[in-house]
Amino acid sequence: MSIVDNNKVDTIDNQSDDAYATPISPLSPKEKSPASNEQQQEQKEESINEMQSLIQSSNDLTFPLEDAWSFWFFKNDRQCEWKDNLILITTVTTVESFWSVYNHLQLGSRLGQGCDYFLFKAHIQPMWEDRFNRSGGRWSLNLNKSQRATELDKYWLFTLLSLIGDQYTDDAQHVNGCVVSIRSKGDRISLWTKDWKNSDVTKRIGNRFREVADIPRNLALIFESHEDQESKRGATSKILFRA
Amino acid sequence: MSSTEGIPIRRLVVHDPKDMPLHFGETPGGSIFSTTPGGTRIYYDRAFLLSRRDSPMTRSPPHLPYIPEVTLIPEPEKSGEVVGNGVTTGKKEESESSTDKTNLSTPEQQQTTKGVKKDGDDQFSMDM
Repeated sequence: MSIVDNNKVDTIDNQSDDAYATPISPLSPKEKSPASNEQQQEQKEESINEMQSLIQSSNDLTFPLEDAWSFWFFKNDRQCEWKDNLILITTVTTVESFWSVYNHLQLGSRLGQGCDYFLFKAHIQPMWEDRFNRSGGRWSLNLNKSQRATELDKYWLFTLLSLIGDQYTDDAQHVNGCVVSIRSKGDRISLWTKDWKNSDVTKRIGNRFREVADIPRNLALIFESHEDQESKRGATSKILFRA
Repeated sequence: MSSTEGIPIRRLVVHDPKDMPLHFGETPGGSIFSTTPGGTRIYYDRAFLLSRRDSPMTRSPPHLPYIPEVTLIPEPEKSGEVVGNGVTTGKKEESESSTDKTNLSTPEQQQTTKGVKKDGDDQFSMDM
């Protein structure tokens, strides 16, 4: 398709060169050119403009996503309820709208302490209470303070891309979203899954997470269920799987 | 000894839309995308996604709520979009009184907002 377009463009370019060759002469072209010539020129210019807008629109290709994804932001304000601090930023459905939003968001590493970004499938709320999360859990990558400046943003971006790119293949329906949490005691990137009891799927997702986010072997990936975290609030919850 | 075989798939690294093979799917609008072997799901690899990062369609500022230091967009002058208590108001004319109800507008935070505006603008102009 693009090849055909290019051919058309070439043709018009050649014609326009011819058209412009006439007026650029030693004699003052405006006086010498008959009116009909000017009209022709105008028509040429019109068609050139038309072609230019066609070229422009071919640049405006958009690539649809398998799922619609919502960006959320959690701001650290202890005076408000947790739920009230959760802000829906927007929902994206194409590769381009994803980038347009991502390019206008502060990097995770530059968020304030206690803040989170979430990217979740548009029909899933980024909270344990959502019916898609109730039986789920999370794969977590924990990073220390020195890794915030060097690695956090990279792993987070790759995690985002793996979700919008549908890179979990057959298990994608079990992946609900991801979270980056900026904390003074250590940052965390988590991938939320739907059904932790399905251990085969859960483990496969963990291994795939490492692969698609380019997480080296020396960094641990641990899986906890939301249920355990809820009951053992504050204390460390049981690690169910490792990848 | 039993052997298992995965579904045969051909992996292509696509850096530019021009690299896309001709037999990949097309939407009615003419956009090209790849599908899994079943033909039902849309998959993009990281290299391709990264190649679209600065494509023309990503340059226009998205429609985002203004959150100081978070969404890198110009501060709305007439508080067109105020975010607070998890509620985004999309209406154009939002009265000052409702702005004051939001938890973004404590005097302390308003100062932060003013300080941030310059930074935000700088970052925004970098994107242009």
